Amino acid sequence: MGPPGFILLVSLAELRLGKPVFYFSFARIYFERSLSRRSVAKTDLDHDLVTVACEVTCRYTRWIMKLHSVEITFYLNDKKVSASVHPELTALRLIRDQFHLTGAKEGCAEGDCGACSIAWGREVDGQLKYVAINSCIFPAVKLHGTHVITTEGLADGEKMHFIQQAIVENHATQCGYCTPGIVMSLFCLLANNPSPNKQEIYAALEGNLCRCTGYLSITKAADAVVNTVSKNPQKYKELIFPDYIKDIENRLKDIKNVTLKTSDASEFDETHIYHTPSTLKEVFEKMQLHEDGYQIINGGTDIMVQANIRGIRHKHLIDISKLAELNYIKEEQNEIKIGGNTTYAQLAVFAPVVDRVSVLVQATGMIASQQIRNVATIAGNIANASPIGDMACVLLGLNARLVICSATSEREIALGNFYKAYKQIDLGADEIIREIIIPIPKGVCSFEKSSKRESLDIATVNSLINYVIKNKKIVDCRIAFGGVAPTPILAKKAANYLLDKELTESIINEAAKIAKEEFNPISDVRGSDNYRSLLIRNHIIKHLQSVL
Amino acid sequence: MSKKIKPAYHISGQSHVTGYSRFIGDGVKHQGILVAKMVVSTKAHAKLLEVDCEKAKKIAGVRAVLTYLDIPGENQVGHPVPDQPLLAETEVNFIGEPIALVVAESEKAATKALAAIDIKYEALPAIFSIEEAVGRKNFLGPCPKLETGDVEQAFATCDFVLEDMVGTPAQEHVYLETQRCIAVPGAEHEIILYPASQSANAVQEIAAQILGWKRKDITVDISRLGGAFGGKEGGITNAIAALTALACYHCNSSVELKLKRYEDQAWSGKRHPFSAKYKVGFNKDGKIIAYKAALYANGGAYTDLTLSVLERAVLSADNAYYIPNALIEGYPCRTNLLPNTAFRGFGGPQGIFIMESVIERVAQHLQMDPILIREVNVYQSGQKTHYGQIVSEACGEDMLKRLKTLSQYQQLKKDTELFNKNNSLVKRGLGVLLSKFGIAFTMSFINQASALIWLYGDGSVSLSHGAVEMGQQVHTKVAQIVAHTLGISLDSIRAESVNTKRIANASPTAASTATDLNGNAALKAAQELKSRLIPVAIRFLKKDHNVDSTVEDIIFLDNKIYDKSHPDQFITFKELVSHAYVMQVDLGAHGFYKADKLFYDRNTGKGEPFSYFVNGACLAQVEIDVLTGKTNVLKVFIVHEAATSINKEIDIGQVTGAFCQGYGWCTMEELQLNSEGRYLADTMATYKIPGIRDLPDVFEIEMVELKREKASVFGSKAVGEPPYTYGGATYFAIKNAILSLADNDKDVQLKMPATPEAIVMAIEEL
Repeated sequence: MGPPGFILLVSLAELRLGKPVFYFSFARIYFERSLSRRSVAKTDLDHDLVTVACEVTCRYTRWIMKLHSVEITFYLNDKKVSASVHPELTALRLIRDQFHLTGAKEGCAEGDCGACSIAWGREVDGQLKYVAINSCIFPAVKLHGTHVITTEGLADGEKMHFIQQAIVENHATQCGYCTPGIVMSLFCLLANNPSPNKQEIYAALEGNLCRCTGYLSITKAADAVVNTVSKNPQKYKELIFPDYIKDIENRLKDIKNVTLKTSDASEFDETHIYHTPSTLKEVFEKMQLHEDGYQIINGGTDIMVQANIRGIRHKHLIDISKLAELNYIKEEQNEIKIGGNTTYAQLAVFAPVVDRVSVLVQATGMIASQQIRNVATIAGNIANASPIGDMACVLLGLNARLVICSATSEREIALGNFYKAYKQIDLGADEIIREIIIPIPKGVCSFEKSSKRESLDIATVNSLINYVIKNKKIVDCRIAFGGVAPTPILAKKAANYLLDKELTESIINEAAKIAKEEFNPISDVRGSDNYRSLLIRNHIIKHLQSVL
Repeated sequence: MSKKIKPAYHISGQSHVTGYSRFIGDGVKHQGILVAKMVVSTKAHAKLLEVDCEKAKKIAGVRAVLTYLDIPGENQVGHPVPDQPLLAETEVNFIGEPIALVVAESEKAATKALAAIDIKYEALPAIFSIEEAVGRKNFLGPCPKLETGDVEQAFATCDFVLEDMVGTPAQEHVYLETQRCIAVPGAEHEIILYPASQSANAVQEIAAQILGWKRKDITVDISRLGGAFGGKEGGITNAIAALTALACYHCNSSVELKLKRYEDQAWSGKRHPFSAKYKVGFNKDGKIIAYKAALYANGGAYTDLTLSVLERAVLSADNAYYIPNALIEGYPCRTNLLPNTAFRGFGGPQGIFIMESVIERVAQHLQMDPILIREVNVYQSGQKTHYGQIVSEACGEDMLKRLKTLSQYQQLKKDTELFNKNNSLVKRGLGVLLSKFGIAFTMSFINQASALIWLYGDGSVSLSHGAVEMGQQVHTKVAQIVAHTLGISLDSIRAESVNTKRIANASPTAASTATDLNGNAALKAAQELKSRLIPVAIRFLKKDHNVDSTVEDIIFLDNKIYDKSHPDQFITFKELVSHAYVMQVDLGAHGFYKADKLFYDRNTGKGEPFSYFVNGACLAQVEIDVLTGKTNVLKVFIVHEAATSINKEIDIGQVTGAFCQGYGWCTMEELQLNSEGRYLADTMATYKIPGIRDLPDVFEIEMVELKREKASVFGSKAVGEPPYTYGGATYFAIKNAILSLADNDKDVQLKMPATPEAIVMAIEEL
């Protein structure tokens, strides 16, 4: 008996025992080599043994993989489907590779083109709600217990969905690569809003790039869709939703409460584990257990881009999106308190925010795309520590505070103290951001963002100013900038200078000059140092000019 | 036959929207398909001291690591000029130059192998700019020189002479489907390639050359592309197809090579950046008497399509204007950038934009209306271009007139001036662009195409031709031509993939010529079939309906065939075809078309390279924020010479899409280089193309449907590239908005693209 036979026997024994005795990775390496070379097989018997051993190894691989995979069940269009998914697997790959629905496409793998857009439906406040997401940066695990609609699921046999028909009839598809994504973005818009206006249409489609049409025909198609709905308001649901959707709500209930099966067994831990705790307590336990390498994940719009583009992998992803404890937004004593799970989309429609902090609504509308805003959380954006995040700048300007907690303690910190240096934040390995407190600002607030493209672009420089004028004089002033220093930063000198002053053109210019001299920005792909310096100056002028 | 072709929707529209259109790799994959990944140079110019693949080869799941030593044929991918190795041998000349290919059983294994390959370089001096290349006379080929009249003498007679420079930037294609190819072993000594390519012919030729095989042993099949815009015609597309074929050859298995977006943007050639030095002589009425210009194209490290791009640029240097004395020179500069390649317009937009800059400069110098300067100089029928082609059916003047009417120009101009008077921190500007774009491959002999039509017994039709469908809807248009000719409905036609077995020697789908060439070829094939079916029809109309008919009186319409005086007594197309089959009539026809009157002599710079010209004009009104440089395009008006459209809606889609790309080129698509010769914006997160919010608030397009002698199939004109130039109007509008802040005749240096940064910097320097 040569080595193959030996391995085979050991493998069989292990399978019997149900527990690997022989160190698996050794066996795997051995067999992979032997199989690729086939040099081991000197005799027919050896050859057969290798083949059988290979089969055993394959089963093994699957078995081991299962330990690290998650069994999910969800509805894909009209079908209930199950899959064993790896933590790194994106919804796009799952839908395309395993279920062979290839309408959704990969264009960029980082949420910057929208060709992968799908509708993601889940129960929100007792109602099934559909939002557009970028499936290329969405962990497949998160589909569990939810409903996915792709463009294949909208047509009724040979009969196109009326959104699809409008696209054909308005010549709004050319090469066709972006088209399924556009269909789904329009579907999600209409599913939530029967009569969107032009700005709402733009907001829904700004995350879908098309290099062929120049968008004119796409807006015509969108107009036609809106027209059709407005002419048949009583048929709205019938028009928008495919027939099978009626049952989905009930059917989802069956699978909703099935907890995800993930094993933590990881003695062969080369791969990665996706954790889905449902309480903060569990989160802290996981964090402690895997303190050598975990990453908190929620919407995944940043983590998954890092994985796709830069190959950054985390051994343990801890998904906190199921935590009811973090899922709230409320107003208390002139402060907006948002739980760590609050998304941009949620923030932008919260009534007290709409009524009293319109600058937040404005800024939210300028961040990324609808697909991203639907799942990305504000806490995640802050924890990401980007010096240029729009929300970080806004919240710094509004003097927001963070409630940070660990398993044993909780503390509050001003956002200004949270950012320490480039990509360095005051957040311990055992802590997470539980809540963000935004004082409702007094006086005037304005936000400015300069970027190469109006939508779905990261700012070159952004800024927020908040000031109060009493008896014509500024009595309170706060100016925050992003993109001018290693962290979001306050222009303290300029703000100080403005105190007790009456705004005149020369005062504004002087404040602008002071702000410009306060920072030494760098040059990068989004703008040169000189340009950034000029923007600092000009933003101040722009913010204050309107007062004159 | 009715004269007008019936309107039609996208022939693949329904499958596009419902998600069932398959792009390359969308089908269920072959079991065990291998993954190939490219190993490319990280240095712009270096000696290759060592390429150590041994460690990578030992990684589990890795099937092969291939270098130039594994190429059985000729290590050559340069097309049409054979100057570029497929895999670098001893030296690399740009960042992204392929050095090796990893072939593995999984993406993971391939990625591991990439990291295990050890390459040792010895850096050599690298150059990136046109200036450096010119200084060293580092050119990729001959420098064209086109001359008419006597410029030097003419300058002396002019009221004014100005000298200036213009630069136009690189641009990334951003086709949404990245570069890719699948290779599958055929039945017997054959490899079948499914490349994302605009030229099945070039892929076949190069793959065969690499393997040392005959072209008959390589089959290339292309169903559709997710956008191309020229980016799938040259360098990297051919390289990827050839590498995939090479992997298939060595591993005897199906192989897929698909670039990630960040690889695609980092490794694929761009639109050629140009720089031009010019001297222009004109009189006080605005008439340009003499124009001398040197156009420098940054070609990158290898020739690729640079010589042809430059040729079109120098041929477009007059744009829409008759200039009696002109001397145009072109320089194809060799640098250590990625080899730049075809991009919608192919040098035309650069040549035209440079001329339009000259016009704007003249207008500003004379403080005259820029439209007036254009009117004074625009071609009239019968005038000769600087390369000797006579312009016929000139309509530039008419285009400007229509543009003024469409945009209510005088009022708009007044409104804009008034707005600027009342606003100091927001300024508006108007910009105009007039364009005359020559249609045909300037390499005259490739203006040829073939088509193959088969009629099946049930009356359905298989239509093949050499044009690759990439969104321009050439498949719809050609099918419309065939449907119209045979009097059948569009849905009975299957627009087949481009396949080298059915259509050999097809010219690339490029230069806006696809419908002209392939539509004409298909028309011939359809007419041939029709002529064979007519006698059958006459016989059966007599037999079934006792109608006497003649060849002239037979009508093919709405799937029926009848005598024109007895429309109610018909046989169906299906019946006709099945009768014809029984009567042993050949139901397949091949059509061949050539534009054989065209010629261009590169030595003299004279000839008649173009079949005709497409004219058009655009006016844009923008608003800029003086403090932040943020630009809003308020209004865009386009007048486009459509001649007799085969499909007006498709043509409008081409015009808007092209405008949008041109607008992106002029205002936001920026490719800065770092000191090592790497483009900084190599993802979609950093490289920005227009989005839906960039759509102008008012966007009006007038398709001018004029009957034209000089036009193509069914009186139509090409539409793919010409409207790209219209985007330039936005640049001039921004510049004019900035100029409204300046003293009268002061010029302003506004970098292109006119990003918010460029605008803020230009204003700062006023």
